[in-house]
Amino acid sequence: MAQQATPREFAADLARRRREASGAAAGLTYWQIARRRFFKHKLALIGAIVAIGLSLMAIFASVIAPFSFERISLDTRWVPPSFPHAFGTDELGRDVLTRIMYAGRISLTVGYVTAVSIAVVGSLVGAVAGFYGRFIDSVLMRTVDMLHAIPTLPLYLILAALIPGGGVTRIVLIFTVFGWTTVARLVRGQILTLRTQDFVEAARAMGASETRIILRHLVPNALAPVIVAATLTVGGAILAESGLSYLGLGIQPPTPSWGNMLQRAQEYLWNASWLAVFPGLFIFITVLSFNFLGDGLRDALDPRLKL
Amino acid sequence: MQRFLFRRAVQTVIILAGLSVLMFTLLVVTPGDPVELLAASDPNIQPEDIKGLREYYGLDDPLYLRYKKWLTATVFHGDLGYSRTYGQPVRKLIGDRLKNTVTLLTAAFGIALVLGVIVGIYSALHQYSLSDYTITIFSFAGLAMPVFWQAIVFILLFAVWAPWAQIPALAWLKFPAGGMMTPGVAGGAATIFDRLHHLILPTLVLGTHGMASWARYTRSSMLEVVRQDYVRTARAKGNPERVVVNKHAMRNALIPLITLVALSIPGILNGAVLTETVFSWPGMGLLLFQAVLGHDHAVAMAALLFFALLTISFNILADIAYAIVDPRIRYD
Repeated sequence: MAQQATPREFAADLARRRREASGAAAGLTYWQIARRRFFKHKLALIGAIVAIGLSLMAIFASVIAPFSFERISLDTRWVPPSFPHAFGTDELGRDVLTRIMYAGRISLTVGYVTAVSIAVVGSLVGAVAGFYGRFIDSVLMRTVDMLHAIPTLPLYLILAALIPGGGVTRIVLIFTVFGWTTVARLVRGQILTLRTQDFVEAARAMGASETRIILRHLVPNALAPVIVAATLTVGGAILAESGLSYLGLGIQPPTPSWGNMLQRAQEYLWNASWLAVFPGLFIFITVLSFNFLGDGLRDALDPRLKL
Repeated sequence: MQRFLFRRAVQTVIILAGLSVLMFTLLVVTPGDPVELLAASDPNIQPEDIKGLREYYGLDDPLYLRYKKWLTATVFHGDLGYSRTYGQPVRKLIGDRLKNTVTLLTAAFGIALVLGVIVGIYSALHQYSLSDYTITIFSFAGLAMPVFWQAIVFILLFAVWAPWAQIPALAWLKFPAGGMMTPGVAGGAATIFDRLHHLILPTLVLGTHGMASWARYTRSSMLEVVRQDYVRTARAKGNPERVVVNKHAMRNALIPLITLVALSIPGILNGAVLTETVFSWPGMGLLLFQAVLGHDHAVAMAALLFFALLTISFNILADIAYAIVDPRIRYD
């Protein structure tokens, strides 16, 4: 039997339940709504878990790897996947699973650092362009258009072939110099839209005298597409780096990266096919999980965003 | 429209000029002097030979002079130079390679477009069904797959392993692991079959990315269109479902796809470089890669110009497509 509630208690209870159900501002913030929507997205959760798992694997590679990745053992060359070499050994007798773990460090580092630097550079440029408008805006946007018109892989190829060095910094630099354009466009667009929004006027009219409060409205809206773009950039950077490394122009051996592990693998396709399968599989799974994550973030942060 | 085109043409020239300067500078400045390589490999070479060669190739001229020479030769005489590695005029070399790359690109593009659209429409019409989920998963997979790894795996599956090819009837389902043709195959039909046989794997690999992204886009576009009132009206009028889908829904859904497709072409170019490398397909991508590594200046510059010109042209085409498709957009 229902509890005998007074009409006032009942009304208050109903109002509370209604507020919680609709997520109104009185109860939930934008971020809380976003988080709730994100957790409903199963694929995105899987992506997040896998991405975190792979990152942990990379960080703790030296602890959990079964062998030393430099250990060359000429009498155990080309061992197919079996105990104790879960993924087999390569042409120098090195354990493939170990190398994949260490290579994960390099590839994931390239991915994360590229994403962050592209986000930072792009946001700065886009914010400046959107804020100050007019001349600076048109100059910056012309630059964006020009950079956008250049074919990316051939250009990366040329730059990577002609700039010496084989480390992470060089690759990240090349990617950043030509990759900031998308984020810049996004941020500029957001700032331009937000500048004229009614809620900014309303906040000002309500007495939000501090610019800080306005920033609490502008910043989350501008940030959302940047977060999504940055997540998707991680996957894209990993793909690009592995492509360049496969061609011999990215991370140079003996530093392992998932891409350069595939460099020699094609020669041994007939005899030691496991060398070709596993590194690429890890690239694939990593990029896939970051793509799922990015999609989930996009849905959570702004479901109106089509595409 | 004419002002727009003029502006874009001017921009194109500027971009190409800037790119060529950048590339030329990098090529010249980085180590890999061809005459030194020659001297190192030939013990009989005399100092006066070296000097003569350097003068002949103009290697000791200042940078701007060398660039000016290349520029005038290319732009005003159409003379793209001579390839050091292949010993042929660059024009002839590129002619052959260009055909191969265009073949591959066209085939991949065609298959990706046709299959992608069909799959996308089917997926939209059967939303939430098992096939829809499968297709969506494959689309995600296709977008995340590293091109060269996919190529290697395909070679592994279809050229090396191919257990189904043990059955004589299916023996043709085992594809070659690379190259464009088998030497020594003569006769019209046999040659065509051989060429197609070699074309299939690279085309599938190159087309995957496009297929995945266009299928997804078609699906979401179709889903949007199918909910519109005019589709409901068409159905209410008693039209057979086939007419509703083909005549009313599909046409509107495919319009925004045009611009996406035009913008995706440069992406296919990226994939082409890697695909050609894995399959040893003798095309422009492989040429660029080898020329840059081998410091074959003339070829590298020509190949870069090709890629840049193609990318820029398709970007302009995409913008024009936007304007045609959406009458609200006007450039002036």
